[in-house]
Amino acid sequence: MTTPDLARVFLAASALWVVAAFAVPLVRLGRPLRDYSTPAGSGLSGVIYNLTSALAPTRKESVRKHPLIFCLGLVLHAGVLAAFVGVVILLSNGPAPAYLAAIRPLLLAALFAGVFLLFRRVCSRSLRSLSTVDDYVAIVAVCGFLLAAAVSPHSRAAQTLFAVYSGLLLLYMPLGKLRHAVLFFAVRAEYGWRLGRRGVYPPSRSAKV
Amino acid sequence: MAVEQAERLKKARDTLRAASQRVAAHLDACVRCGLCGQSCHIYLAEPEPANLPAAKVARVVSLYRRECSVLGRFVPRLVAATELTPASLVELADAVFGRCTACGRCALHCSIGLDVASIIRAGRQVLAAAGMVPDGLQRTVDNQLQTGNQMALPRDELAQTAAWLSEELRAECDDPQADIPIDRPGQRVLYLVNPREIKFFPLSLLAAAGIFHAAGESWTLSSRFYDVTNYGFYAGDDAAARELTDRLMQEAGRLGVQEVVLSECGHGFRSFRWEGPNWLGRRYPLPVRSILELLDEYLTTGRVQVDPGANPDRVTLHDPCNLVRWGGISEPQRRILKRVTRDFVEMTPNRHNNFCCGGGGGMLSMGQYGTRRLASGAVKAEQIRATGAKIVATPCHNCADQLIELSRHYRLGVEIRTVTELIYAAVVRRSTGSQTRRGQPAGTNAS
Repeated sequence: MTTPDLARVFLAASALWVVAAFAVPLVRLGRPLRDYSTPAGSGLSGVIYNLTSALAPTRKESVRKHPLIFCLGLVLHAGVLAAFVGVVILLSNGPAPAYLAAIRPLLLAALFAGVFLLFRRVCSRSLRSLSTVDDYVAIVAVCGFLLAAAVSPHSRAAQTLFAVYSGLLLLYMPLGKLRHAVLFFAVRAEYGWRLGRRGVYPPSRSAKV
Repeated sequence: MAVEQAERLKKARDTLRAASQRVAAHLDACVRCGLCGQSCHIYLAEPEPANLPAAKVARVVSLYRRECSVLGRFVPRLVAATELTPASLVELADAVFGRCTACGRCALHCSIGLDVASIIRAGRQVLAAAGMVPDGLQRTVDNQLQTGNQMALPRDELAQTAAWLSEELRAECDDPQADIPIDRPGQRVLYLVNPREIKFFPLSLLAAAGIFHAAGESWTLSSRFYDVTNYGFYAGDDAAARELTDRLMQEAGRLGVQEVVLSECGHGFRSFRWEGPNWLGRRYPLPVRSILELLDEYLTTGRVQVDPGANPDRVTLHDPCNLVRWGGISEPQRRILKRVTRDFVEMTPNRHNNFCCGGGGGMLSMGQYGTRRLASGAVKAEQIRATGAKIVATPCHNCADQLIELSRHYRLGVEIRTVTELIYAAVVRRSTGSQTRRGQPAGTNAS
């Protein structure tokens, strides 16, 4: 087995670890679905609303009041998602270098956004007071991931490095802040389900925000 | 002493493990972006880091991590995990009782979508297990468990109040049969009230009775368990909350009613309608409704006739968080107010997106946080002022108390009234075709 092959096996094992590690909190989260109260609305409608319209700037104050942070966050997460697609292509023996080369501008933009958000965390007094070491580790690790993805098309060694780095990131993901990559969808769905059953979500169109 | 403390900490630790299970995913998902501050009335009024919803969440998360997460156990510094100690519980109490009303507004705007209020309640559960619920709130829970009502009113006080209110009702309705029935079995509706209506605002009860009379409703109060509030919910004491819910449902069964109708009380509605069945672990045998839903039905079907000319002044509406954001009751009160007032205007924001008045979460029972509570009402006060309204309607007696104080403190010059009172003021009596006299506003008989 060559070094790139070993790196890919490590990456695949890390991906399996992610699936196993998220199973427990997701099963626990599903428990409130057993609700004895008589519903006044649809849980499913609440889930759909909370994963779609509720995220729109018109509905979400944190987006409206912080447009720059929102845009940078969007770019960062789009870049990370695109890089993870590269990981999947790599795992399935597809043309990962060509794909990653094609999305390099997005990866670099995401890297810039990540650095900016790290800078913001360091400079803001209230954010600093909130932050844990894990918050800094997570953003630095993600920036490293984006950088590794952006340079990986250059050589076989860079590709191997990207595979190993991705595997390490996946090992860390269920333990630290990066959990939110999966839990974001899960908690929004669960909360949307609860408020949907109560007839709160989707809200009245006349509601002023 | 040391043994007792160790036992309390053990209970707190066990509760933390159990309570955090349901909200574990929410506890794990906070990214500490700090964008939640702008959605919190407490942070907006006093923008200090400790008032950020994320900071309050962090107090619970840090304890949870130490007990329940791998990194928290082995590298606590990495995730700022904190040992559960008497000192960390004191800090937790300040965050979850003293700096948060668990109104849930920040959850709507959280970049992740965390159910912050449920995390805060998990923190309160831990403190309840450790016997560290603030005195005023704990006393209210104890009153409720010991006497059946949170104000510890003696049993004959309800009977006396109902007797003189019945006389008033007979005079106002010109009907010698009109009364406020107590413990009358086989009626259609069991009406649960806030003891505050009996002690301080009896005209709210008179208003409900007058509307029931106009609608020809078959209803009764209970002399034993009539309290719609549930301070076990606020205190994070699930055992107490379960006991209080069970008593009410048993009482409904004893009286053989077909439906339970809840007076205007935000957390009472949420507790009994939505949380109660899950505390009991079973479905209710009867329907449970807010009085707003019933009154809306009376007006929509024409069972009760009203004249909006009886309420000519501009009226705005405060949405109680537990009734609207957590309870889903946002439209009945609007349909009602549009029918019974001449000039109804909305606050902005409103409905599920409303700002808390600052009196929720048991704040009104915790005197030590009184200054913060009034300060945190600044956002609501400005919302009210911007409407130019003379009357603020609110379907919650707890909110009414806070709004009365806000009106004085911020010199708003507004009257605070419940929705039921405004309807009663506009009711056209079937027998004479004349209007009833106006119910006295909640805001004026408080002083």
